Parts: sequence; C-alpha cells; structure tokens
Amino acid sequence: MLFFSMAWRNVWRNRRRSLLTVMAIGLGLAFNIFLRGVTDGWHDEMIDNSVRAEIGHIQIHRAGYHEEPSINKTLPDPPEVERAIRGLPNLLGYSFRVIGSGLASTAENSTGVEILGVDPAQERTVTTVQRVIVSGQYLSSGVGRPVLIGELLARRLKASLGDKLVLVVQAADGSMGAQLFRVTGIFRSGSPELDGGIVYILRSDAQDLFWLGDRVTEAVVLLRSAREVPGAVTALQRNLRRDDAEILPWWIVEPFIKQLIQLDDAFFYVIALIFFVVISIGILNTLMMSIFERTREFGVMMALGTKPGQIVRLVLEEAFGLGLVGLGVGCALGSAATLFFAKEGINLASVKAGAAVTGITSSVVYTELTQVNLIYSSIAVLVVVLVVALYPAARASRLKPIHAIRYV
Amino acid sequence: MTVKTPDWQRTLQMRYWALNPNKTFIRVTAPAKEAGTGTLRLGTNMWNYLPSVEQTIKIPPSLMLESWMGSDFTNDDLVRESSIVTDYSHRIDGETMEGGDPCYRIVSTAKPNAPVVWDRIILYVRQSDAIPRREEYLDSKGKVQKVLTLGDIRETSGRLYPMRWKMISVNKQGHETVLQFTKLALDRPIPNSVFTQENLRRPF
Repeated sequence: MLFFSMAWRNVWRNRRRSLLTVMAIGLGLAFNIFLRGVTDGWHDEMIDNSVRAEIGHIQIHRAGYHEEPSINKTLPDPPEVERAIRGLPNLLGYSFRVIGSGLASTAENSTGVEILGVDPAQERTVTTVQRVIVSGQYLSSGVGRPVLIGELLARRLKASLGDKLVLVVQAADGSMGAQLFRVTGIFRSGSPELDGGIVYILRSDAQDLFWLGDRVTEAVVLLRSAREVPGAVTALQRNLRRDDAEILPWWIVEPFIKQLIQLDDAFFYVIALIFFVVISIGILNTLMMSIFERTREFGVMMALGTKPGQIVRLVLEEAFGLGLVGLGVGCALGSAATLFFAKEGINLASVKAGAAVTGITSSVVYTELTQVNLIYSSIAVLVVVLVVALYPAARASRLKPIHAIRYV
Repeated sequence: MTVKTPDWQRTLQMRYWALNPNKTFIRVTAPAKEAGTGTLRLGTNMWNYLPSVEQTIKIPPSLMLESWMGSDFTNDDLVRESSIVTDYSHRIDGETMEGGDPCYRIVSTAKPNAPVVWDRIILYVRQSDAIPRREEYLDSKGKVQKVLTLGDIRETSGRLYPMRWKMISVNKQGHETVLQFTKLALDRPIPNSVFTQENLRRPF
C-alpha cells in the first residue's frame, strides 16, 4: 500500500505531463471503442439485411437439403417443427415455405428462377420484401394465382403489372408442372440476385405447381437479434430430436456474409494494433522522462535500502495508475460517442453502392456498444501500459546508487 | 421413355418425328396429365408447348443444359446431334468389345471455337455395320459426365437400328433414362407442316 500511494503521488507530481498521457491513452481507447462500435453496428446491420431479405436467422429442412436441394426433400413433420419453433424465447416470426426452381416465361422471353411459395401473413413476420414493392402489391388474394417478381426480372421478361407469366417446373413426381400466373407486384430490393432471380407465389399455388400436397420445403425463423441464434439452434436441436431434419444458422446458409465480417474484423484488428503502438510510444516517452528526471531520487531510495524489485514495483504501479485513469476517461468518452451514434446513426449514403451486395440496405449505420467491446478494449490498454512500463522500470531498478546520487 | 431417379420413376409415351438433319418434333401422348406436351426444334431453336397453360415457351440458350422433360437427356442433347459431324474432329483409337460386339473406339474432339458442350465424345461403333453401341460424353476436365448405351438392335424399314437408348448421368447417383422405340418407320416422307409452331399448338 505504501508503494501504491507513493506511485499515485508520483503520477500527480507533474500534472500536465500526466494529464497529457492520460488523454493520449483515453482518446486512443475511446477511438478504439467507438470504431469497434461502428464495426459491430455495421455487422449487425449486414446480418440483419441479408437475414430479413430472404434467409432468416435459422432454416430448418429435411437433412441433406442444403447440400443438394431437391423438391423431393420436404420438411419432415411440420406441425412438430412449428411446435418447437413456437417454444423459442425471443421469437419474432417464422414462415413455412415451398422452394423450387423453374422456368419463368412470358410471350417475350424466358429465364430460370427460384420460386418461393409463401403465406404472405406468415412471411411478413420474417422478411421485408413487402417494404420494397415499387408497384402493385404483395400477392393480393382475389386474383387467380398472383406472382410477385423483382424489377430486374420484370425487365428481362418484359412483364408489367397484370401480365401473364408461365412458371414451368419439374414437380415432385417427376412430371412437368406448368401454370399460368398473373404479375400483381414488382419489388426492388437493390440486390441483383433477388431482383433478377426470385419470384414469390402463394404457398398453396406452389404446392399445386410442384405436386406437393400439403408438404413444404423449409421453415425459416427470425429472432429478436442475431446474438440469440446459437442458443436457439441448440434449443431447436434439443426439442426437435429428428435425424431427418437439419437446423442451419444463417452463417451456414449465407457464408459470404460471415466471411465478409471476418475480413472486416481483420482490418479492425490491424487498425487497433496501430493505435496501441502509438499509445504505447506516448506512454513510454512519459515514463522514461519521469525516470531520468528522478535518477537522484531513485539513487537516494536505493541508498536507504529500497530493493530493485521494489523500484520495479513502484514504476509499474505508476504506469498502472496512469493507465487506470486513462481507462476511465477512454471508456467514458468512447461509450458516450458510441451510445450517441447508436441513437442518431451515421449516414453512409456515399458508400451505399458497395453495400448493395448485402441485400436490402438502408444507408444509415447505428453503432452498437457491447460489453465484449468495453472489456476487451480495457484489458488491452492495461496490458499494453504494463508491458511498455517494464523497460523503464527495469532501467530504474538497475541504477547504481553511488552514481545515481551524483547524477546531475 | 422411362425416367428413374431415387425419388420417383415415371414412363412417358410419345411420338417423334425427325427430318434430318435439323428438324425434330415430339408430342407426349401419355400419361394423361402430360399428354399434349410438345417440343419443336428447328436448327438450334427450341420451343416447348404446355397444354395446361396453352402456351408455347422458347427455350433460352441458358437452359439448353437443363433436363428435357425431367429426363437425363438435356435440351441440348436433342439439338446437338446434328453438329457432331461439323464441330468435332474424329479419330479411331483402337478396338474393343462393347455389348458383346467387336467395336471401334472413336475419339471425337471438339474443334477449337466450336460452340459445343462436350470437349470430347468417345464413340464405340460396331465393326460389322457401324452401328453405335455406346457413347461417353466428357467435360473439359476429361471426366465422363454421361453415358449413352444403345441396344435392342433390330431391322426396321429395311435397316438395322438400335431401338433402346439408355442415358446415365454419372454424377447423379441412381438417375437413368431409357428410351425404347416401340414402332419405327424410316425413310417415310413427312410434310413440312409438322415442323411448325402452329402444329405445336394443336395437340391432336
């Protein structure tokens, strides 16, 4: 305790220098926390976009469907699956879909598409396609066999609202299924993949078209947040003891997003590393200065019987004190900035073009403050400060009292 | 035509008119669910007619490699045959036994810039009368993708002809398609009006 209070007093002996160091640590840490907050928010947004564009947080199929999709691999026991899904905490919505591929054709042209048979009331709770409809509406009932298509596909097929569209598929019994649909809605999500390759039809129409009876292809689940996914997958696996079903989190369905996030994280770590190097040079400078300044003082202490180990301890504790104050400042500033932009959002309209690949995108990013972020950043700062302090501490402890006392 | 997959098996009956080298017309006659479905090919253009929606659909080039009527034959298989002479160079590569007959093994390699799907086709042709017994289709990596075996060689209209064609997709386990001709007439004149879109839209 004696050494700690001595160290604490030493820290405040040269107020201006110490405050500058504290600010350097604090601002560095604050920037780090904020940057991580932006990255976290951006990642959440990216996940949320792709999840709400089509794939949901969790998908359940017949085992082997993801590996090799086929219209014959239908979901085993949907009522049981539904019961398991309903038991999940933090459930936002779920939808049972029929998915297949086929040929969409008009009098003008034809092209291959993915066909999504959905129940609009259910699908609304999971995906946001209804928000990006540019003309017409979402599978309005009342029209015989409505179809909702993307803008790109509409252009390719030269189809507009009210036009006839034929879907030709290979049905579950191997026969050719063909049916006439009417375009009742056109959507623009911003993702060429969705806009040019997906058609939405009613689930019951899809079941007729694919000769499926009342079977479905997949159940898709949306949770309150992407963070709930691992827990929910485990819960589903526990409650749905079936070897013939597969339960897939979004990152298996869409590994691209996961890889993008990992790449982005790598960039973040490089930047964080640079910041810590800069901070540590600042701290090193301060500590070296204060050691040189106090050469005589250390000499006297040692002449009076202070052991080298105690000198090391003293210097380390000074550094720790500086670090601790800096930590407080940094966490306060960083959290404040992150929380502010978590509410206000950062407008990234200028880089929106690059964001289109991730699905339906808004151009505002909301930062996010996580405990992991605060804890890791704080630990990193303290470790850096202590490691950097080792060198001046070692130097101070190696002084020869007889020379040090005479040092001018 | 019988198509077998691990999930289902079905048999279609159909009538087939061909005027070589490049006109083909196919009409499905059974089962009732698909009767009337038709395919017309003129050169490299292809149309399908679907009676359930009373629509003719032009098969775009991007779908040429898709399955024809759910079988192991692709749309391209129906179109391609005419070009094997012009788009490939051929060479005899030894003699083997195939289906119990001594055969020549002929390696046909795609000519540079030829607009074809298969890089190489290996033909096994019976030595006695030049009737093909087996054809292997190889992709650009030299891997066999499809194997066509021809059998049930009978004399029809004064000529020997393989009446049973079996197509296997190598990379799809358990998928095979057997085409069995029940009646075959060769060298019969066919009016040109058969090979028209009007005829395609007029089932029976």
